[in-house]
Amino acid sequence: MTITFRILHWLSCLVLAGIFIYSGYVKFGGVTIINRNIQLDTSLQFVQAIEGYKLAPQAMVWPLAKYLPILEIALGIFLLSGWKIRYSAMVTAGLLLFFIVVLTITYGRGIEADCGCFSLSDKISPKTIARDSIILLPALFLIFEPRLRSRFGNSVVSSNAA
Amino acid sequence: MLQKPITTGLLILLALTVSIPAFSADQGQIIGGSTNSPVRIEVFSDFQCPACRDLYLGAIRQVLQDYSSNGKVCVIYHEFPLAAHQYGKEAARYSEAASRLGIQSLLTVFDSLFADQAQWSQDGNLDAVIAKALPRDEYRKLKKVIQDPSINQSIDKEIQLGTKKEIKSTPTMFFYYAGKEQKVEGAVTYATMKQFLDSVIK
Repeated sequence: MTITFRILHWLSCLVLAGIFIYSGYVKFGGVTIINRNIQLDTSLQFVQAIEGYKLAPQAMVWPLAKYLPILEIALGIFLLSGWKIRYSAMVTAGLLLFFIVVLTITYGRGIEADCGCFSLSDKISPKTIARDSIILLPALFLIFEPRLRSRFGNSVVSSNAA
Repeated sequence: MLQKPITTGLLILLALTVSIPAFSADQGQIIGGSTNSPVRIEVFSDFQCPACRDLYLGAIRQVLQDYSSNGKVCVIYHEFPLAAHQYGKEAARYSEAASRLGIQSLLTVFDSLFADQAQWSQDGNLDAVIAKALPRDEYRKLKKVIQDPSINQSIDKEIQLGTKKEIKSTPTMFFYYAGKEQKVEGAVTYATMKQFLDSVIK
């Protein structure tokens, strides 16, 4: 059982890290050096996607488009490193829950917007909501892993002992 | 323990900062600014597409006024008439012909084709729209130029370029700045474009 948990643990970390690094990368505007100043660029396509949701106030659109991809890449790197994994998983789950709520509200309002999730031309649909909900599962596993280990790990040990 | 994420992060950042070479702007119609401008916007557009109309009338015209007139932004239009639009290619022929008469005629044709899109999209009577917009002399010249078979060849070349650039819908824009390229599908408001341009033009 310990091996099963170990495999599930690393599989969850790798899958989540891969998804978050890729999803951050496609939305990241890049870095430009202008007049010796290094600046973070914003992906105009992602700005357009956030505006399409008609949910965030205009003042929040640009900061979201600029920093959300960086947050996703950073989370991916943390998940890959295995450092403070439960905290990384909590932030990941929180972010995914936020995405699911926003997608559901937008779809419920009948707005035809681009999801802006993994590619920048992906319409919001029940499929995109279901996809994010499935991605939430490995994050929840990582959060509740110690509890699951103590419960199922012990029961297997005790049944073996019996 | 921390070495692994730092190295991974640095590698990712390095990959992201590698600049993408811009493609040569030997085709298309320059409607504002010069190719030496710090920012170049290349638009693949169809005159019969409503989103292209929104982009041109709602954002590009203002960009021409605020950024191209002082040499900050070069705007290049590429004809990309979609097969679904019955009169899109004919409208592109008028625009291509107007580009050979000069920038003033070209802009007048752009303005009228987009402003009266709802009208000519119904009956395909592009001639009436152009005749109303251009001075009589210019209109006569345009009618002559439009007979040139190279007009169709130019449009076909533009379509080929668009296909090569994997254009799936119109409008699709490419922003070139500081050796970088950003592709944007769909219309963008002027406010959004302004914020972006101000962030990359220093």
